[in-house]
Amino acid sequence: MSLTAKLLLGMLLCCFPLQVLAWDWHTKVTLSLKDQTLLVACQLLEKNYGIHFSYSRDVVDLSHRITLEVRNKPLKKVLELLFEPYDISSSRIGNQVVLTMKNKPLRTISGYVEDARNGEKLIGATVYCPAQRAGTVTNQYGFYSITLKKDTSSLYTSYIGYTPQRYKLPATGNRQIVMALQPTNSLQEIVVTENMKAHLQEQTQMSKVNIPVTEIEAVPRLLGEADVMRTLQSLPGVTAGADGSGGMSVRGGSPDQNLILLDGTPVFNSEHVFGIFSVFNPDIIKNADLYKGAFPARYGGRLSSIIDISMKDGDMKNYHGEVSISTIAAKFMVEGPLWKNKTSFILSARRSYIDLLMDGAIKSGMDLGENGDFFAFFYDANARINHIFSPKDRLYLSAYGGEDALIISQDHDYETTDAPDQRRYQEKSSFKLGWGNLTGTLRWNHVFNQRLFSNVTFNYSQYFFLTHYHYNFQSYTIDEHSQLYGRYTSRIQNAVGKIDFDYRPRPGHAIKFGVASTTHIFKPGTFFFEDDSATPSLPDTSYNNFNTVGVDMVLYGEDDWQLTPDLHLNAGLHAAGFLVEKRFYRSVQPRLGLRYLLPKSWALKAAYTHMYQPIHLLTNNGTNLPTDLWVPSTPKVKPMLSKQITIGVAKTTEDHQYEFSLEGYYKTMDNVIEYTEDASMFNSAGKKWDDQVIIGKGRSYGTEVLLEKKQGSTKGWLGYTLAWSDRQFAEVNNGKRFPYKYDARHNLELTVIHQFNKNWEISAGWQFSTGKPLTLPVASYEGIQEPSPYDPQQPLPPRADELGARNQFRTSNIHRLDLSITYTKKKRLWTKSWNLSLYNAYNQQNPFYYYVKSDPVAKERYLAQKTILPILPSIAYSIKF
Amino acid sequence: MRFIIVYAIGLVMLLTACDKKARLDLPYEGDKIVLNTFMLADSVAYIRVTRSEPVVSSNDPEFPELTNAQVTILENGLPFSAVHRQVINGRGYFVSDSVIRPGKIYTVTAAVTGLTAVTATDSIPAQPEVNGLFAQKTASQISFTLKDPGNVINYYRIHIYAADSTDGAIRPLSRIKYRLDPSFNNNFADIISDAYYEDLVVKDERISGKSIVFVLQTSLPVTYKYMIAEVVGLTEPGYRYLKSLDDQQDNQEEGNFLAQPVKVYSNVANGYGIVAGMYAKRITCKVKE
Repeated sequence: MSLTAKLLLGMLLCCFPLQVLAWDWHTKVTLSLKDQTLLVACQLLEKNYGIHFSYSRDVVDLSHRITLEVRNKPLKKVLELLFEPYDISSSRIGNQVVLTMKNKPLRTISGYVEDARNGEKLIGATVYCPAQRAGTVTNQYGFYSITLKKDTSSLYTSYIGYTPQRYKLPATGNRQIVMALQPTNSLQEIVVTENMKAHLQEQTQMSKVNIPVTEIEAVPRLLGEADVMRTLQSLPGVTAGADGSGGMSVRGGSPDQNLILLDGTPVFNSEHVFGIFSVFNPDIIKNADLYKGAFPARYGGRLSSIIDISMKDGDMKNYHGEVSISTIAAKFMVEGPLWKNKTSFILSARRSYIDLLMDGAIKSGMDLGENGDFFAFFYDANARINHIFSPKDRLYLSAYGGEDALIISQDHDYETTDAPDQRRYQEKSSFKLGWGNLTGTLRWNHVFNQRLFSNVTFNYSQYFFLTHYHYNFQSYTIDEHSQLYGRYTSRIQNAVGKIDFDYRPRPGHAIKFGVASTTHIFKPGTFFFEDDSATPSLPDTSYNNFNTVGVDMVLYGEDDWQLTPDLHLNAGLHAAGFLVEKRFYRSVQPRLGLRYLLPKSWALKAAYTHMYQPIHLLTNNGTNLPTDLWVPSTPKVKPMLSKQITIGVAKTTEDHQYEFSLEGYYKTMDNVIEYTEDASMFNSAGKKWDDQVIIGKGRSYGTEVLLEKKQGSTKGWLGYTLAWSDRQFAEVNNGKRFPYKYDARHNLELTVIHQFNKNWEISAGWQFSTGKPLTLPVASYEGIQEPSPYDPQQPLPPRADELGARNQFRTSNIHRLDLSITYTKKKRLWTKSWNLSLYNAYNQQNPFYYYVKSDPVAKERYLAQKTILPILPSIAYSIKF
Repeated sequence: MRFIIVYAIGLVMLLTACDKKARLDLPYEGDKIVLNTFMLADSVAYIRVTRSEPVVSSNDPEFPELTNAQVTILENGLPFSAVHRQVINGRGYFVSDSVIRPGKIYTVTAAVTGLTAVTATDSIPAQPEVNGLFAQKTASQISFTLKDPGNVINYYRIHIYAADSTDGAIRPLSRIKYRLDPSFNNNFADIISDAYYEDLVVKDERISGKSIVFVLQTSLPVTYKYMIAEVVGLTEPGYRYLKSLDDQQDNQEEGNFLAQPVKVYSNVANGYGIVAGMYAKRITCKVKE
């Protein structure tokens, strides 16, 4: 080596840190990483300390993000901190650190998460292993299963409203562990600081909203009744019917496209009093989930949404109850063990009582006669029994019944001899109008092993509409009498048998699969008449007295698959076949969801789903009514099919205080139906009902933003929706698209719940919606009644109005503020609670409908707006024991 | 069934509902010719030609007549009869010089300078077969028999008149309000709502091909000497027009909260109104003492 070369080498060596030449496991290392990948960590070590890493990119994944701050720590320790959580082992070969994957055996921990006080199973509770950054949530039966490495020492479990709990695990082996959580005193709610709860960015599921029952009870009430469906209507993407009425639309779908499940059993009509209240008594509700899109493969049969409501199991340890009375209804709930820690029951019922209070006034006001009667009420009742046969087997038996009814009977004795009346006869009539649901569910949970859970369900559901009259007439002066009876009923019945499996074969896979069969029995409107009069007119007869039976068969499977640490795929398939009147309709519906973890703990989510609905609801173009008829698909009216694509971002803040989601969606719907314009007086669906409907397409798209504050003494949410929804029928508006009746461009909902102390809680909800479409007349013209101007008693010619294009106009904007204050006082043996609510606090006169009104006094015609729910204060009182 | 629901919801709304003038502007579609005639067999045709107006107006029941309209009638596609304008009871009509004949098809056209000409066609239906009108003094029921032909869909309109006899002829005095057994028209609510009508239209879906005794319950006991039942055969356009017009009137007069906008049927091309054939059958009886 020449002198020049030696000098150059000496200068070069001076420029390098000494560590390059010599590092070992004890070399002191300083490293600072903030949400950076392992690859960056390796690059820094190589750059600063000359440590070269060798690994196979196909085997060793260095994309995991990590936050680490170490100062002058031995290299061996630092590498352990970096790689141990990801099962990456490091060894020195020559001057390199070689990275390989550890091959460790697995273990599975499974069991139930429950309320420690009463054994109530908790749905959607998080079970999490921070060391391995792996977690799962309990299914709708409170069951979980998580597969982990053997050296896991503990698991954490958490659930909103409960104190998070850490469970130490035995050293080895699969285990079945029941995790019992204590409810938190809401004033001392623990702020979860560790990664003990699944963040939104850690859930592949999107377009899903969970409503805790505490929030249902905390938000302002209408007439004192807490209501799950009203609470759902204050979420983005959900549009309610006209002020105070039901008919919920989700992402531009029609109300019949919502599948409402109570303990897995479909409820066909979820409304009391034409939608002002829902049929679900909040006292027995444990959990409510709303899916607006990204439908899991296990759900099907409706196009637009799934509302999955679970009833409480009943207290396994102690007897409890609740009695309450509100402005409109009284109710009770009682629960307790039939056999402690083995069998529990829960029973609840409620009935409106306004008709009883106003009995005298109504009777005299309606001139019902001396023995006349009037009842107008709704009631519902729920019962459930839950039995634990063994740690592996549980049985649930539940039933629901509810009805809205109007009963009027009249009894008149006319003995008038003065002109012009001169009535001398007896007239008696009775009339009943009612509708309601009956459901029954039997479910058997079985745990095959730590990784395989099954649920077998048999359920029955019926929706009925019924009206009948008796009429008796007897003259006092001549031989003249009438005895008439008439009845109209419509009904749909469902019987379901299904088995669902939940299988966790290994980390990174959560598989659900199952098979189901549903038998539908349709009776869309049957009339029956009897006439036992002196001069009978029609013979005793019935019309449309037939049933149509359809069988729906479903096979589904889905896997929530962790492709890489940052990328999850939920891939599912829902195959369905519908057999009706020797016709068979089949569909294969892909259900795909994707989640990719972005920097700063944001998740990018996307989903694509097909949904299929073989049954239709015949309803008029205005309001959904109890008289609406369920009918099966026909050769002309094929099953409805929707395709929806959703994309969005989501994040839960590190302190779990806030959740944020932003989603955009585009949905198409085929084979949607509407009545033809002159078929609005439809009474029953005969064999040829499909001649009276038109078939078209629907489309909806929009953006939804939801910001929720989930913890602390102040909770609530802010939702905003920007959406479009339209329909297209060849026969309407010359085949051009027109806005769907639920199309509201902007929706804004703000709900705030604040707990001052252990006694006082207030809540407020403000909703704003831009006007909804409506059809109005655009011209007026003379009508005609009689052929000849010489006919006697010639009336003035009627005035007819020509309707404009369908849904061409918009109602005025709709907004209102609801307020509520609740006072709760805990006594030694019971807790009493007062709730004062103010619905529509600033008395905004929102439109329920519009009509053209003629004012003969002012001699003018104008468009009038009817409001049905002005400011409505209400009070509710309850005692819990 | 809708009436029942209206009745039930009405009870709910009694407590809270209120209405006010809406702050919405209703645009006007523009002037159009309105052509109205019910062409009654064996009678001349009385044709009203008027002009449409904006919906929001002074509520004047009289619409502007188009007195200078050119009205023509074709029978089975051939020129039928001249028309002349005549004012009857204060209103102007274009009256045909010849009587309308059963079984024929008529096309009526009206043209006015400055407006689009309108035209409409309909046929004359068969005359209903009715007989056996019976009524008894102080009774609240009257009856007659209708024989419905079974091979076609038939539509009927029923009027009941109190009558008197002058010069041996029985002439109507006034219309009587009545109601039908709900088995004919499903109006269950009539039973409890004390609803009676001067005029009902029915379709023969329940009675097709049968001979049926219609028993009508009157709002007041029968106190007259004579009675007349008039059963008018309607064509489908006539039935659809009367039914939809009645439905729309219900909505407007009662403020129907179901908010189902009802489109009044029209068979008039380029305009509004109805041209429909009718064939009436009147039967009479002396009320039994």
